Amino acid sequence: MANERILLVEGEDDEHVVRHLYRKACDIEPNFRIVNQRGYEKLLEALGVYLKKSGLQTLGVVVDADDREARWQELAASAKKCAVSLPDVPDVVAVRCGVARPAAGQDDSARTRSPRPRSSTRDRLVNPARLRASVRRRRTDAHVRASRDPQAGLKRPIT
Amino acid sequence: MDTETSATLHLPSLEITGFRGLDRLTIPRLGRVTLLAGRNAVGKTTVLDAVRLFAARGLPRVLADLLMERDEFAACLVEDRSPVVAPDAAALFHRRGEDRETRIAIGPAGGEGLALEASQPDDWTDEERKRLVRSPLGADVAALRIKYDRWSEVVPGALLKAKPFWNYPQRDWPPALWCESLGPGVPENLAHWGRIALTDDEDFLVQSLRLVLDERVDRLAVVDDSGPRPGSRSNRRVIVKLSGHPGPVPLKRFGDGAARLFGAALALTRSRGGLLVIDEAENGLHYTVHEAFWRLVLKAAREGGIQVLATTHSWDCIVGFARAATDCKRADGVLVRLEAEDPGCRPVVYSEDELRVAAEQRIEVR
Repeated sequence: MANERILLVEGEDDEHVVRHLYRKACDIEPNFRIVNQRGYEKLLEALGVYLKKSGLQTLGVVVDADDREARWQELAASAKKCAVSLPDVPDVVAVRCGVARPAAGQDDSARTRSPRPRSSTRDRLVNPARLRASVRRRRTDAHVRASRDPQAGLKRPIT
Repeated sequence: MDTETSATLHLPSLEITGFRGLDRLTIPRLGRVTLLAGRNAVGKTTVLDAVRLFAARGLPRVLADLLMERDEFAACLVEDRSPVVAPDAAALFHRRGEDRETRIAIGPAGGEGLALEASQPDDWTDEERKRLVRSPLGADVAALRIKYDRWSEVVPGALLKAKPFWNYPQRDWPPALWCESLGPGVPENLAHWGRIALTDDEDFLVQSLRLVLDERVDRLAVVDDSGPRPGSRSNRRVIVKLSGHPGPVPLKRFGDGAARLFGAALALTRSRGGLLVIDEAENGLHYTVHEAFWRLVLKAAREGGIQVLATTHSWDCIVGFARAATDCKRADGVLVRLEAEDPGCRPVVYSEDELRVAAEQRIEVR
């Protein structure tokens, strides 16, 4: 397929987060293919294969940033094997989908009824009641977009 | 690729310039077995033809075969002015050699290669002039200079496979590499059978047929009929003995899959120490057979010192190749996708590890 846009994500939760964020932000279905890699290791080993894909226009990657620097280096090393250079420091453009965490002694049902803290513009786009189960255990910290289009460069933010 | 494998390959890499549709192509790495993928008309079969030509050191007979297989002929006049249609060497050149500086070069990157150039009379030695003065007239390329290392010769641009044009002087060139080309169907040339019958190679052929005909295959043989049969240049045919079946059965009765396996196994026994090219490797094979087919090819290539290049359009073929290459230790399988670019085309090389991931995760690589 020509001009294909693909977003690799680590798991099902990430897929739902991205899909819902996109719907909320853009009011349409994602115009790129989201591929659930079922784990970071599988995503990392597949990165180079996707970068060689015929007709690929854009490849995006969503990973947990528990150890941001180490993961960035791993992704950069994998991309480099395919002659794709990532910058030394990640170009972080979207940070954190915040959700209210239950106060001590407060159960989940209480939390859903409580007013939601509004921490950022991006948070306001997300319905926490729908996303709570998905993002409770993880935070999506970095969206990295690498383009194979040399004219486009590698630093355009993902939307 | 380990160093030992790389050192024993005739073509550890491949550089092609000015040949047919390929203006310039450099494949930085070939494997013991290389699978070529890519869209129609991108140049996969042209790569196989280039390998055949390189292996033959540009032998005029092989040049003529390559042209005739593609119906590339030119109308010419022979010495007594009678018209004749001859294989047209101009068709070998990129854009038919419109640019007179066009040169064909085929060989490993940075290594000894084969070169073909359009040749003019002022370029000929006296001996060449004497020979070429009776060449057919009218071909776009009047004569062709073939070079390999320090060797060089000129042949007519109209490559007639008839006397006197076919009686080129005996070459003192380095010997050509054996290069078997496998097409669809049961091979016509079965002359090699005499060296296979009742040897381990015959068992190898039986084993290969069992991939599609199970354990029913007891034996096979090539038999001579009393004379050529209608519609066939050969009077030989392959017969198979099935267990529980009273008489022999012609191999062709079992369809394209059995023919492909027999042809591949026969070609592998003939190609030891040389090259084997297979166009559309998936022909006739059910998807469940691909992995076993590639195991057979990879093992025989490794053991026989054969370098194999094959083309495919089939995802099942690629998955089978990936699984077999991953399992066969030191088999060194590589997939190269040729991708059209403006201008020309570029290769995308996948290692065994990348192929394994692509097959496991169903990532398109064609």
